[in-house]
Amino acid sequence: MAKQTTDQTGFSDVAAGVDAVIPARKQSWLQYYLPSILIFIFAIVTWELFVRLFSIQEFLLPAPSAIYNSLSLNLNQLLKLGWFTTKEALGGFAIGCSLGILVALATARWTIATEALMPFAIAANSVPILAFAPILNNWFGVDNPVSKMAIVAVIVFFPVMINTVRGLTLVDANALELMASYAANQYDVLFRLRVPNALPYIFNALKVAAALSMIGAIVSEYFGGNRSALGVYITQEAAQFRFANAWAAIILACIVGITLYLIVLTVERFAIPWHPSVRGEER
Amino acid sequence: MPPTVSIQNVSKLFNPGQANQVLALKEINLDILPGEFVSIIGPSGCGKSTLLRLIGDLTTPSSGAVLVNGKPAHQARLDQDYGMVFQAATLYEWRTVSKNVQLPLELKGIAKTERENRAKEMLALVELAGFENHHPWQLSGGMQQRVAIARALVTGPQLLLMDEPFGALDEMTRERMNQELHHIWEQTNKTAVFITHSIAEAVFLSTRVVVMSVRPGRITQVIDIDLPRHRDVTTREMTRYFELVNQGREALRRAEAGL
Amino acid sequence: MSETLTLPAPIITEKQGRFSRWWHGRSRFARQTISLIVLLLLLALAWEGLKFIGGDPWRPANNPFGIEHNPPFRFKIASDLNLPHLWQIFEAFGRESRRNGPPLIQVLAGAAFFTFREAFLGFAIGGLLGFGLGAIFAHSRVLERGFMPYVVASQTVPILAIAPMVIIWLKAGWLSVAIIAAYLTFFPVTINTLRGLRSVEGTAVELMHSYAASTWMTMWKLRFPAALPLIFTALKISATASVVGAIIGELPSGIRDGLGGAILNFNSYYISGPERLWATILITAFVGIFFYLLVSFVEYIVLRNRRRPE
Repeated sequence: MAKQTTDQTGFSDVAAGVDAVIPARKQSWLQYYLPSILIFIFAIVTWELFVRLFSIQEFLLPAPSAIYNSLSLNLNQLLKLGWFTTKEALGGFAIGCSLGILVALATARWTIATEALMPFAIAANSVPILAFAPILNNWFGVDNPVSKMAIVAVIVFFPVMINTVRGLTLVDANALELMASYAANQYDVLFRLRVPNALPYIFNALKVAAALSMIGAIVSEYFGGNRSALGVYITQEAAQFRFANAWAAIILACIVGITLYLIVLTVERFAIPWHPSVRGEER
Repeated sequence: MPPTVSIQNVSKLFNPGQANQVLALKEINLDILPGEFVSIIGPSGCGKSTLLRLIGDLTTPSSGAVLVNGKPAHQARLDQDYGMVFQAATLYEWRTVSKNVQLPLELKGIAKTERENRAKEMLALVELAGFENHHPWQLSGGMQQRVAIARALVTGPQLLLMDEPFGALDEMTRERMNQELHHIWEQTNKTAVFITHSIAEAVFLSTRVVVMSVRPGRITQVIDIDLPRHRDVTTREMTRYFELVNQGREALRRAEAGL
Repeated sequence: MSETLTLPAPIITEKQGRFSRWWHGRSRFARQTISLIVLLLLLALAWEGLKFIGGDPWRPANNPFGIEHNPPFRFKIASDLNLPHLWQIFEAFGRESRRNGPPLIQVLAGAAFFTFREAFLGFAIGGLLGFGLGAIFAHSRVLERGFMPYVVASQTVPILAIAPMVIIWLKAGWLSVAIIAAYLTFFPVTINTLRGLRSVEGTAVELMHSYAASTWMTMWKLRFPAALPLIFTALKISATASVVGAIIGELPSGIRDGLGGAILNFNSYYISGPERLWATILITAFVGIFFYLLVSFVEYIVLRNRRRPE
């Protein structure tokens, strides 16, 4: 029953493509990643040499060593800032994803409601949600992490909802007939067929949402935020051309984003071990 | 003896009143007695699948009535009087083989130990003992279809509805599956309605073969298969078997020509 | 037993009420348009309803009957500052954007055009770059394994943080903003190009081999057409992303001619006229949806002879 997941938002496609980056369980990680590790080392060395040989100033391009120094020097402060922003991202992720899944579950029972909701959701999904950041700052207060959570929640809500609806509705017609032939009631059809069928779609959306939530939190902090937030720190340092500091913070943000993604991926592997993408097929 | 399935003057109209209105079935009358194995063959689009779905109450007739075990098909579905097998095995990939077979029992709210025992029993019947904890994707197409048959049998229905269950299998596997299905039918004494494209398959398995024609779908001929009730490898070598296959082929040709 | 029994409807077809039958008689396009309008109306109703229950007191502009509505509650988010009346927002379009300035709609239309131009250029650059990377990766597993992790990691970098550096390198201007937009747009295209080019069946490739077709021919006659549906799916995400990218790019660059600049500007004058920021957001939403629909339209034209995926 594995089917291609071409959908209007395309998030499942992209997430499925991203999964291909992670080697199947049986492959050796070192062997798989050897080319990328070599490229990393090569790039860092070239970058460092480039900056040193041509004496590039920091406000143009900081050297990797300068970024590393800033990272190690400010690590305590950065971790504190990072944790503050991570909490915003996690809060928004939790609110947005649970609302997305709940709305999808609530509407999936009625074909008409789902069909009516989809064009709206797709339209809303192509709205630059970021533009709402100043409004939500005014609603909940600039310093209040809730305003950032709200932005993150709105950003992740639509992809999660759209994908969940698709997972709940794109059910094999035979499987539905089978349930009908057993005179199964609506709840059995929902929980024994539609929900398991939707899980791969939901996880694809959650993975995208995990990465989006950290970016969303940082970007929303640009419109003003608590002084102990990572996004505010990055903006300040960048505005004063202290790019080594800004980059150190950016790297921290990336690490958090990737970690969140990998956490969802790990949960996925335990939750749906039966799915082809988890089994390492259809690459 | 009252018929297990009684199809009374059934017509089925798709998209009534619209431009793409199609009369899929026209005035079908057919009684199927307990213990019979009835195959329905006909050209593509003759409505044989629709007929099977009418018996299973997965769709309703536009006029006429379908009775299963003497009651309306709808009640029979609610009472789980039949088990159904589709062309695609339609196993849930998130369930193990045993869990797939247990599905209809779960829906009836039967206790876990009994469910497991009965699934085990059924899997043994389709010769898949030991595969309980495998996942569907680990099985071949033929094995998956056997799981589907076990699932259809697990609630102990008297009636088995099969919609081209072996249509997607290769010839060798198909013959072996025919043998096994016959064996199960003989052992359990069920009534079976079987849709197929293959005349040879229909003759080998059935006590009666119903030939249908296309547009509108109607029954053009019913062939009694007067082979011995027990069938095995030697059946396919009998002269009478060949005669019946030829008779079926001739009937199908006429049905295709719309006679 | 020859009389016709009336049978209850099976659960497989939904119970068909009169509305349901009417509804399913409409075309898909009509159904979606109607539902979109209904949802927008419901949203507007909820908006004004919230203000009716918990907004600020309200009285009409010239008030011959002395009507004054005093809501029973005072919700913070429903105050006139936080949630202006819808008509105020629409009125704001016609009023001047600043003292003795042109009307807001004119300013915003110009800003929308400016931002759309940046977004479109970024979309084009990102699309080409994404396609190129995808095509290269599709040809070489080693390059894919070498670079793909960084392509993926690049999308966890908050681009707002990179924007200032890009602007220093390329000077503040709409080209640098387009580059920032491209950074957000290339990624989905890369991923889906790679998937699409690889999705071709083995036998189809063997058919091309049997005609002794060159790699190049196989690419253009087989792989690329096969990849198109997935590429368009990615381009639709990219269209939205490019608008987001253009707005983000404008923020730190000091460019004030686009929507990003307008958001910053009206945000700082929020107290004196919240409806202007709301109006800007509406236009921003419009630009995002417009670009999405534009790409969808091109997709429809290009793929009109293909089977629909569902």
